[in-house]
Amino acid sequence: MDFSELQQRWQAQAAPSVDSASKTASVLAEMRRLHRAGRRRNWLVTLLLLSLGGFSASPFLVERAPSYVQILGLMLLAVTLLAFIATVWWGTTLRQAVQPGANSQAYIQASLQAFRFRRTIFNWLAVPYVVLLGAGALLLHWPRIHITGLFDWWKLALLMAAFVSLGLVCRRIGLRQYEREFGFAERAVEHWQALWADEVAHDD
Amino acid sequence: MSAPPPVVPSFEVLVADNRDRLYRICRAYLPRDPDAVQDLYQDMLVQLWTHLPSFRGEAQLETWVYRVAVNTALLFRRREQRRPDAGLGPSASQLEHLLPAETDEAARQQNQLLDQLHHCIALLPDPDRLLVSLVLEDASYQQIADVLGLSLSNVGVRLNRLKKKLATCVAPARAAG
Repeated sequence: MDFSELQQRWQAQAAPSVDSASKTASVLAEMRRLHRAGRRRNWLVTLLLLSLGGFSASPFLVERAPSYVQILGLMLLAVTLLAFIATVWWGTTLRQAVQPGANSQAYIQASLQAFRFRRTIFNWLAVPYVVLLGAGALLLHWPRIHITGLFDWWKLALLMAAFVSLGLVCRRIGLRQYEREFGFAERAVEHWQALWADEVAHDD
Repeated sequence: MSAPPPVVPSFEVLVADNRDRLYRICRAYLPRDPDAVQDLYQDMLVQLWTHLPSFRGEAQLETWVYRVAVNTALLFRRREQRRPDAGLGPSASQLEHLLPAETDEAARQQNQLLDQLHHCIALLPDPDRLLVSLVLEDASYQQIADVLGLSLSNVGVRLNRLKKKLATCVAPARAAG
């Protein structure tokens, strides 16, 4: 028996094309639902962080003469909080870049980009944000720390290490939460992305 | 002097070049479950899409595609076996009676040899099915050894045995054709 004949017969088999059009609508609907949920969450986070920031800063703002260090701490806290809020909204803007309905594939592509951005925020920015917030809080309470004799370099290092640890915990919680809410959708989008590419290849 | 960066095709080109091949590997690996074939095929596409940016050109692109396909198939199998309803499909001995396409006489007449080939592949154990599907795709022994983590001599010995087995198994269909 000639094995090459078997190979020829075998290689003559082609993959069937996949009709994904009917399933596209449900994927888009899910994307829109997540999009709305993401925006609601962003508003909640924004209000919460601004309230928290205002509440924390108000005692120092009404003091007669906050020190330069305290002003520096306040500014650091404000910049960090605002940067966090901006980053969160930037992720949504990415998804808004392509509106649903115009081109479903492009919309899902943009959604996927937004998913990855959200994951990247937790992966890379959770620890720096927490450390910066911690540093801001330290500066804000600098005189108190100084007066009570709590301050010296190793204690400062310990506090920073604690902030890093807290940041790592926040990252872990954030990623777990992300996986629970968006992980499945992200995989579904990747799945459709691959299928479309397959269809494009098949059409060619 | 550093090596030039690998030439990485776009995902669309990669799929266009490999879609049939991947599908045939899926069919060979999961001969008993057409639905699972679709799932595995889509998993492979997703894996290729996900990992293509990390392709560093350390192996030939074709070998890399085979490796992704094989790893995805093995993972898929492991996942499927963890499911509570796993293992309820027909056994190899049952398949011996089920698989030839007697139920579809027209298809059998059209391509009896191919039907028989699928039947014979379905009777093989999992690792051998992957091995056979790769050699049917014309993968070199070296590629197969790299992908499956076997020595070259081991691949040679196993393939010789499998080729003989397949030749014997498909012989009646060939004679009838």
